[in-house]
Amino acid sequence: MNKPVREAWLAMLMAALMPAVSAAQPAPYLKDAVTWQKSTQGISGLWRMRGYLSSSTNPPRARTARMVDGQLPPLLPWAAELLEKRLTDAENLKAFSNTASRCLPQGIPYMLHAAVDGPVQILETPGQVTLISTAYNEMWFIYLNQKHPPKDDIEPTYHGDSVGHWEGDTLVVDTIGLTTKTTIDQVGMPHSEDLHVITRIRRTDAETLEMLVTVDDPRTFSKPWTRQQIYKKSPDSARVEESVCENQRNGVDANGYQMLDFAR
Amino acid sequence: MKLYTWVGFGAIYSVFSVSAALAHHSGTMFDNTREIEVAGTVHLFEWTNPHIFIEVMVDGPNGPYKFIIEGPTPGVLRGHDWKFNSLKPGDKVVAKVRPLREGRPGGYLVRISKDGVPVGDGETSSATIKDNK
Repeated sequence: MNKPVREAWLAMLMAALMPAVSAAQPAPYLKDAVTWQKSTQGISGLWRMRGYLSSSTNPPRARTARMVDGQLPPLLPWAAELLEKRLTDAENLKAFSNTASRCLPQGIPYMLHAAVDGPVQILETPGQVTLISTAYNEMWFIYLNQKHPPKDDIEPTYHGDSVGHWEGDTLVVDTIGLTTKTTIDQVGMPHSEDLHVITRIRRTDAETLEMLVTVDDPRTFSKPWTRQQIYKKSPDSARVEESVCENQRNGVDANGYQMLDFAR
Repeated sequence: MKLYTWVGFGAIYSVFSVSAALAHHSGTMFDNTREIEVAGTVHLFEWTNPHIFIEVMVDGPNGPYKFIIEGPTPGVLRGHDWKFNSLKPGDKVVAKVRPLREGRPGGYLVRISKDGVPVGDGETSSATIKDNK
């Protein structure tokens, strides 16, 4: 490379770098977050769940999982009886001990409806979408354009084996391999080891994320049913904060119900 | 704590729906139909998940006793301008809580003030955090 050409290259390189150097800078620690949150496309970013019904102001029966039309899901008799027992117990001060009341993950699908402690962060990276929730720092790994392993090779876990693909602007996630330690909601709606969850995630406008969560478990429900969950975009300064469940003073009593007093 | 201040708070809070953020266990252990006032000195402040705890030493007719207040998560309270060091041992506080149904003196935090000034933005509900507005 002769000298004039080399100097021309250097001039072009400098010209390319200069705008980045001279542009007005946001606070350094916010720069990347602002870049994330300014995007109006895709599902990456920090999102805050809407519509959580607190247990301090809503009785157990008002907090069961509901279908999009507001009705109770079509529980098979055994599941309806078990849920009714748990609700009746709760009304008699014997509250069902869900996983969260024991500092364990809420799992799929319930964590998508109970992200009350702070934002969830969705990260789109090549071949993978990852959802990190502030609540319990739960992580949901979604592998794109892959198949589930053979069923016998899937270890039942709180977040299952999740594969996803894009249908237009909607991420469709298929999850199996979920542990029966979890429940469908906070008050104890059960499911079987055949639980199959299909989650459709899409951005309905610049500020809104919609999740349509379909529960398909023929051993618990007479037909698949769908619950809607809305998230709104978090401010630029939002973060997923560390959330270590280390101080549960009101866990489970000797009878398996939630304690009515503090442990110390 | 001056009575009229709480009367003022009451007037403000009666306008809004105030609900706490119990995601981790049911609200069964607390009597959610009533609120009581607790005044004393902070003995311990734990900025922890799944709940924060404030232990307050209260002067009772039979001597001092410890009142244990459970609150929402740090995540919810951050949305109400709380910080990990919003309270410290020795702080003089007055709190409104929903009392335990049974057991020792304790309850669930509705709001708390330090030296007469509300901690954070004065609210503790997940439904009213700034990020939700």
